[in-house]
Amino acid sequence: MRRLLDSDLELLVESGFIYLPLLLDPDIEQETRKLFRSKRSREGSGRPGSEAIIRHKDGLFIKTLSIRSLLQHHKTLDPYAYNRLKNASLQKYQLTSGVDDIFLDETLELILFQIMPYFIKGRRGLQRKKLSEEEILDLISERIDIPEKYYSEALRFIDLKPLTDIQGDLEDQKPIHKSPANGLWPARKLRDWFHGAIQAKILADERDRVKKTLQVRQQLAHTKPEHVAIFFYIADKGSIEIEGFGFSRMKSHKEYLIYKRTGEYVLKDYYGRSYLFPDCRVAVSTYYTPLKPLVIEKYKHPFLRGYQAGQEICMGGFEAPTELTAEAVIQVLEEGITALLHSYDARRRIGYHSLDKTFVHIPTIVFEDYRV
Amino acid sequence: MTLLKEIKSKRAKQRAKQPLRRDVFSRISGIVRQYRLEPSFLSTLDHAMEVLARKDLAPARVRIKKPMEFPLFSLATQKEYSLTTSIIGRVQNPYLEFVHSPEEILLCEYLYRLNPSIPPERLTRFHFETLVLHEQGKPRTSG
Repeated sequence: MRRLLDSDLELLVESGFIYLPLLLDPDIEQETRKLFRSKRSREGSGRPGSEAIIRHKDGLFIKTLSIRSLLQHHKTLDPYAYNRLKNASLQKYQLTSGVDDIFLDETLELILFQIMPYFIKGRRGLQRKKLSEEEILDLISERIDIPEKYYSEALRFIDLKPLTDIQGDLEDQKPIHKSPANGLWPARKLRDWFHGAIQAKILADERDRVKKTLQVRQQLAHTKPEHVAIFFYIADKGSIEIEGFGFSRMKSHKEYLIYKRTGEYVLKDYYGRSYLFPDCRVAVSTYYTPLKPLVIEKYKHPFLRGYQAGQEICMGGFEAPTELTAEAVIQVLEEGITALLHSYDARRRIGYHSLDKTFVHIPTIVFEDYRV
Repeated sequence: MTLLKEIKSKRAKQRAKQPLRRDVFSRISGIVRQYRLEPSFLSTLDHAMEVLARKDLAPARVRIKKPMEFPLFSLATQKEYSLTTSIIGRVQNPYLEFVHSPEEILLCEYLYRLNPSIPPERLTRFHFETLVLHEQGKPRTSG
């Protein structure tokens, strides 16, 4: 069917059915002639639209598919094309679940409005005034270069009219799409009509989502487009970073790795020799409790067991918080960074490894390459 | 042959598959589609006899037919169907079953008039132009 609708053919629409130009050979021609002869003899008895072959402007057309049936079963007949249309339709009205959910994501709110302000410096100078949500979003849009496309998406998102119209139509139970008029249709024009009808049907099927999205958008109606654009950026990219503080969305929905960079730092061994450690991200996952600090990168340190990515930092007697709160995340990140930067005791050589070689253990991790 | 053997051979013959032969319609319709012939071809066909009778065909190398795969059966659009049936209606001779190209359709009638009893093997193998030249080159018997 897809190939037919993409062709240069002229299709006939009659009484809700698609008629295709009839192909002939001598037998078919003879049969058609017989059919029309017998039809003439019982003229007026058949009901319109029930004919298998009809003549239109000297052309013969044969009945094929019911348009209504095609619309109803398109999802099963051509799932790939249906999903493409569905995605396009949902994206057109910003109805993709990621976009809706990002405004209802409590964890994200916690990170943006409670944890992030602790780690980044605003234009506060010496003041320690608490930043409002608007000020935080202003700060983010100043520090992060949000591409133009997210801004235009935000403008479309805030515009409630198209969705209000759709919801109005759905509530009035208007027909989802007008049936195509009887007559000849270029195949591609009929295809465009068909796509429009499928998209209208998809929206009708998504009635609940339209309602929910409208509620969310009504709440955001007075939000600056730049601020909405930040959420679009996060929904798409899944992460932002400002002044070494950042977060990135994990594979599981609405869960994040919140991190702070350590920057380069120096540790000294038993003999007072310096070791320059590279920058790394100390993170805490919102997914696992109790909350424990870990290093995202492949990293080695006396407090890390091996030399790989995602290792938990050895924290000794630290009591890891079990509840996800802003204070708990801030505490865990600070404790983790403090452990890496300041807790190594060259004399006592606590942790898994020692910076200098000892003769007691066979070293599994060496730090000679960090020595300066 | 005993009655039993006769019955068995009869049944074996009945069971044997009958090859599906391409008919003239499939062949001409195939040419019409492949060469995208237009209705103007019919007027060329109408005047082909006069033109060929006047034209002095230059003796050339022996032309073999171009291999062409014809469909076993053919379904034509109304335009193609009308052109195909018109061609079949105009060229009513058995040589039409052996044409491979529009050029041979034009030569078909002329060749048939020159010699209506060319064996099918020759018609299958040689281009009609070669056969026309061959027939024209033959000494004519008087009467």
